[in-house]
Amino acid sequence: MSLLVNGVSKRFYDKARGEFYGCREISFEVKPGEVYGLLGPNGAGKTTTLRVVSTIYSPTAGGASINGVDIVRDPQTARKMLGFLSSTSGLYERLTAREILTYFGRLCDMPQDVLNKRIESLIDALEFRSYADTRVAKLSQGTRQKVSIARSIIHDPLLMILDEPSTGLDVLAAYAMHEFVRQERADGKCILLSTHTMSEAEKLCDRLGIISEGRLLASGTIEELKELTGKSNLEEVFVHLVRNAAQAAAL
Amino acid sequence: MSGNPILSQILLVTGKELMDMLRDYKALVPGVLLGLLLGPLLTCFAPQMVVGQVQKAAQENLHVALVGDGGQLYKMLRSSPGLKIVPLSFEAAGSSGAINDYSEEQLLKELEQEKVQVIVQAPTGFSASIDGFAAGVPGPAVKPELKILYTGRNPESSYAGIRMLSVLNSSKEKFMDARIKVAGIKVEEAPVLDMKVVSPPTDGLFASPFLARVLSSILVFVAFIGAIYPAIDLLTGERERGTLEPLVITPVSRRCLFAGKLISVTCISYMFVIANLIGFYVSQFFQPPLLDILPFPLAAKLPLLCAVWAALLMLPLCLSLAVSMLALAGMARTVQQAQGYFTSLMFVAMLPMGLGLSGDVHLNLPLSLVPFLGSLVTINDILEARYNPALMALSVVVSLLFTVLLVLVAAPTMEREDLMFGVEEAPARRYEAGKFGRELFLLCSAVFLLMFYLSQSLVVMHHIWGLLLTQILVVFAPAFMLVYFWLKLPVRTVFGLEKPSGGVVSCLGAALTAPLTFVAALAIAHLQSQFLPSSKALEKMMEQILGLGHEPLWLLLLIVALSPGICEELLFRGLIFSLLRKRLRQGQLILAVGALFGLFHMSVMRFLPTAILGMLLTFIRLRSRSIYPCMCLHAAHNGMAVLLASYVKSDLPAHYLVIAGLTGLCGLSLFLWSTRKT
Repeated sequence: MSLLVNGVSKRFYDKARGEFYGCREISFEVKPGEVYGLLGPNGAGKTTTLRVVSTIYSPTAGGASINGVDIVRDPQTARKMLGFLSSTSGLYERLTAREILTYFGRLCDMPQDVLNKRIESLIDALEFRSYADTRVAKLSQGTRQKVSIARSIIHDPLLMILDEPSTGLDVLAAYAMHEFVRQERADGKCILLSTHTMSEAEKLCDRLGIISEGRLLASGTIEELKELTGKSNLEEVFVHLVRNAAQAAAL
Repeated sequence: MSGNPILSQILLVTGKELMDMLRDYKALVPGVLLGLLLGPLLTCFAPQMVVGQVQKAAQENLHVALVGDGGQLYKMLRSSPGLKIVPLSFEAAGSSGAINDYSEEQLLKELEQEKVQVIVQAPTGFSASIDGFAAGVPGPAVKPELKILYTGRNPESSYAGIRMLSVLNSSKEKFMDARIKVAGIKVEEAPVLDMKVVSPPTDGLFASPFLARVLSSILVFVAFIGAIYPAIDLLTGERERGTLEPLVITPVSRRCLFAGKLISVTCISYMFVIANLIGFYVSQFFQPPLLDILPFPLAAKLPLLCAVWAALLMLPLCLSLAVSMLALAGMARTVQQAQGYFTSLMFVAMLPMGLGLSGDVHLNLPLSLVPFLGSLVTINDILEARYNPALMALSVVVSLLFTVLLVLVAAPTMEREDLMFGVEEAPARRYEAGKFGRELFLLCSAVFLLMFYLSQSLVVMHHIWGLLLTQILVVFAPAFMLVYFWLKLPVRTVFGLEKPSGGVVSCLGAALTAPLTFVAALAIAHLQSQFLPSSKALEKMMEQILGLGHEPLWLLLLIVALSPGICEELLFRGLIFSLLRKRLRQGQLILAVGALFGLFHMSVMRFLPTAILGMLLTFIRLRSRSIYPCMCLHAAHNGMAVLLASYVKSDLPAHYLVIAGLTGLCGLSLFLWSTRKT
């Protein structure tokens, strides 16, 4: 199981800016049991890339495959293998956590008995049993985050796509999120996440792609990136790459 | 999931959406309550209030003041039961009967202040005249004209006015009897009139006139209200809450998701309708008994079969409304924006009210071909026990076909990144890919609405110049503004302002085709007149409004022939053609542009001739790759109509038609030859 992203581009247009690319010719690979992080400033194109890979947007050019399944030609099959979680993802306020999990499980075509067992195990693993039958509107932010995580992995996807997963979370909730990522990696899942914080990237990611202005500037392990740029820490590596790219673009 | 997987997925989405919506008590309860209570409110409580006030007024003594030369009047009325003669506030008690005179203003003020319910004013010399009449003195000196003053603003006063009239009439009769007795005239008793009310048999399927007029409009209104909120919540709301992304990356296709949402919105809308029908049906058993005595048709009678028919006919309407609302909700970026759209649409939903209240619109062939309105009129007719099974079946079929068409058009809503996630492409790229569905929809809506509202006003106000203004403001301006200012597309390419492939000869050939199109239009109109009611009266009325008979020929040719030849061609064979070109195959394109051109003329009688002309013009545009031959044919076609109307007052002889047809065929051949592939 692996994710192969090959030259993905996504073009946008708005009246003020005209035509522009959210991401341009992005290519990378995520192997099983690996956490690959897209690190970039706000507006760099991280979310656009993740949205294309998760089949929310169709790519303007390029494509990606999950375990050999082309996301453009066969998005329905690809969707069975991926889970997507974003800091902006919402939940149905008038439904209970259990109802949401049941709904999404059934949308993923899970048999009822398997689904019931999966829901129980997720409720225990993420520790929200006492709130499982409470409507989401009455849940705290932390519990909502847990329900969101459970929702995104209800069908036990092989690829997890996390868009700035710890944004807006308090220390404990962010810690729980990191624990969840580590656990998924330990289970042999592919994990693709985006972040703009160096510490999170250093803590979680096995390999990193530095992204700015929609382009992937460099990709590799942190050590490889340090070697490539001659810098001693990730922050310097990042600033060096982004500034160089900006200067090159200005020229 | 067992059985049909797609159906199971749709039902799964429907189930969840319904559960979600039904838990939104704040939005749902007022709607359902409104539906349930509207019937009782309109059929029981409103009449009950009127009846109650009348009953109260009937039980109480009528407070009447007598002014003017009211001495004789006082004698006549003092013994009448239920009357209490009172002085005005500025009079001394017991002064009634004295001769006094007050201004009408003073008296009305008294009524406004509710100090007295009714005032009877007798003219000067009234008492003497009545005395003389009673004594048998012929010819009264003063015509005994009494004035009854009451205020219509106060129901009690209104009722008192009516009652006073009845009391005075009865006094007059008594007075006449006495006079006849004094004169010793013997009058034979009038024969007793035998009256029998004959009403056609209705098999118990006749709702009261009150319900027949208001029910269908109310049903459409509540169906509309019932569809708006769920549509916004399930589409715009889903996007705003951030639940759309997780939903669209599930393995369920976006069309299935849309179908599930559509069924849910339809169910909620239909639930409102059913609640409303139940309200009306039940309330008829609790109506106040005194309703029968009221002079207006307030009694509500809704036979069960009528209610069932209305419920069945409302189902496709609810589905049409639901799919339209979902498609519109898809166009709004935020819930607030969607609410803005729908508030203005509420007024559109109120339009059928006028149709229902007018009461004299019944199902006919043209109406049964109009979706939505046809169904409304069908419901009205069923409530009035007017059955025309063939037309009703046609109306239902048209309504169902229209619903299917709407569903097919709206089905890809959730697949569209521009609508769901605001991902736009540059207009030039969209033009290349033919992705202009939204703009086309807005353009057509704007043009059709402007035609309906603005054009009619312009024609009524400015007569023939109104036609020119219509061409410029309604037809040309929206098209030009969309291309030049909004989409910033190349005007020349979009409007097809290119050299035609057959050069000037193709323009000449197209223009010479006009006699053929004109004869064809006459033939179609003649054939139609065998099946559809004639619209000659309407044509005559339009001619009178426009004053066409009095205008010089050059002006008629300029306004009726040349300006539509340019403006309508720029819109239909220019912009609409270009926006649809990449999306449709040639045959489909010819049919679609022709049909839109037919619809644009907003007349059932004119639809077929204009649609067929539109199809030919689209073919010409395709073949010549230019709009100029289309303009030539359109202007020549209209020009022929103007010339014939000006010079030929009777029907054309058959051989003229044959010659015209042959000339047109030559013209068409010339066009085809000039545009042949070399």
